[in-house]
Amino acid sequence: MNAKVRPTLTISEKTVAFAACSFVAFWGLVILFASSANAWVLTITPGPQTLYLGIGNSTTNAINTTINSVSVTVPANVLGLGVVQPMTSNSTQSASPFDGFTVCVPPQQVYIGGFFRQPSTTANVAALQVTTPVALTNGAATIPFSQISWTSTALGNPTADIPAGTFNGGTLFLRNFASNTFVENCHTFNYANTNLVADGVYNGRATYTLSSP
Amino acid sequence: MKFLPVNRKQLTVAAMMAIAVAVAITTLLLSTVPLIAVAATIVQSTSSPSSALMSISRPAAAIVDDSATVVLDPVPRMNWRNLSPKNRDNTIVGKTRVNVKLATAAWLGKRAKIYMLMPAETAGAVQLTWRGTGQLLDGQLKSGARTLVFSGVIRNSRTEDVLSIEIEADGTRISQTQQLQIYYEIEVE
Repeated sequence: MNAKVRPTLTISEKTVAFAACSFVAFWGLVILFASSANAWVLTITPGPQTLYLGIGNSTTNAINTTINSVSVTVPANVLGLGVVQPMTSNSTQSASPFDGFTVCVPPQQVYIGGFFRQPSTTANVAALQVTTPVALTNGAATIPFSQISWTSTALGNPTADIPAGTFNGGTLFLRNFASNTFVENCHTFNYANTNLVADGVYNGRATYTLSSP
Repeated sequence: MKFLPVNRKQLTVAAMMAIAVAVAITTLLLSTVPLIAVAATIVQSTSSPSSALMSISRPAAAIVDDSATVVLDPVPRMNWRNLSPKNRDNTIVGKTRVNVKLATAAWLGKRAKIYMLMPAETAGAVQLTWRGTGQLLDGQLKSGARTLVFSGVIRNSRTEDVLSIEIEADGTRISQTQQLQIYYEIEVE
C-alpha cells in the first residue's frame, strides 16, 4: 500500500464563479476609478436676491435712516381757496445713488428709485406702494392726505417711470419693478388747498415699500 | 455540484497565470488610450470628407489624471459685480484658489502641451480667469472651450501650480447651484 500522502484541494464551480466575479469587479472598480479622477469640481451659486429702495436722501448698499420732510406754508389770503401750493423738501439727493448721474433738482424734487435683483430671467416683479394715514393731524384738526399729490419726472428721462398720483389715505400701488431693472424718478409734491382749516402745523408720514414675492 | 481535484502546485500556477493576465490587461488598457484617441480622430475626419480636406491634423489628446488637485474653496461666494442693474450688467463674480496637481509621469521627458477644459453644457456663459505662480500659464477659459496652460518638456512627474481664479457668469442664467467640471488634456508633440 502506498503510504505517500498527496494533499489535494477541491474547488467547487461556485468558488470559481466567485473568483471570476471578483476579477470582473476588480477591473470594473479600476476603470471606474480611472474615469472619475480626471476633473476637479467648482460649485457656483446664484447671485443673491436683492431689493433696493431709496426715497429722498439715499445711500448705496446701506440703510439710510434719514426721513425727509416735504412742507408748505399756506398764505392766509389764499387759504382753502383751491390755489395749489407747491411743496418743498429738505432732501439734498440730486444724484442717482449708484452712478452719480444728476437726476433730481432738490429741494423741489424728491428722489425715488430702486431695483429688484434676481438670479433669473423669469418675469418676476417687485411692487412699489405707498401707505399714508387718512389725514395729517394737528391735535384734533386734520387735513385729508388726499389733499397732497405729486408729479413725476427725471432729468434725462421725462417719462414718468413712477406715475404721478394723489395719496389716498391708505395703501396705494404705484408700479411693478421688473427683475434686474432699475427704476427711478423725482417727485414734486403739491397741496390742493381746498379745505379751510385751522392754523397750525399738520403732520403725517408717507411710507414707501418695495416688496418681492 | 461538481468538484475538481486540484493540488497546491496547480493552484499556485493558476494564480500566477491570473496575475500575469491581469498585468497584461492593465498594460493593454494603458497603452491603448492614445490608440483609441487616434482612432476617434480618424473616424471624425472621415465622417465629413469635405471638411477633412481643410482640417489641420491635431495630436491625439489624453486626459491627465488630476485627482490630487485641491480646490481651496470649492463653493465660492458669488455676488453681483454691480449691485445695481442700472448699467444692465447682470454678471455675478466669485473667487477661489486651486492647487492643481497633474500626474505627468507618463510623459516625462516628452515635449507636450497641456490644456484646461470646461464642458460646453455649462449654463450661464461661465468664464474663468486665473493667475498662477509660473508653473502653469495664466489665462481665461470659457465653457465649451480649452486653453493652453503648459507647453514644453515635461520635467516633473507631477506638474502643479496654485491658481487664483476669478469666476464670471451671467447672473440671470444661474438660477440654481451649478457644478463646473474642469479637466486637463495633454498632447505630445
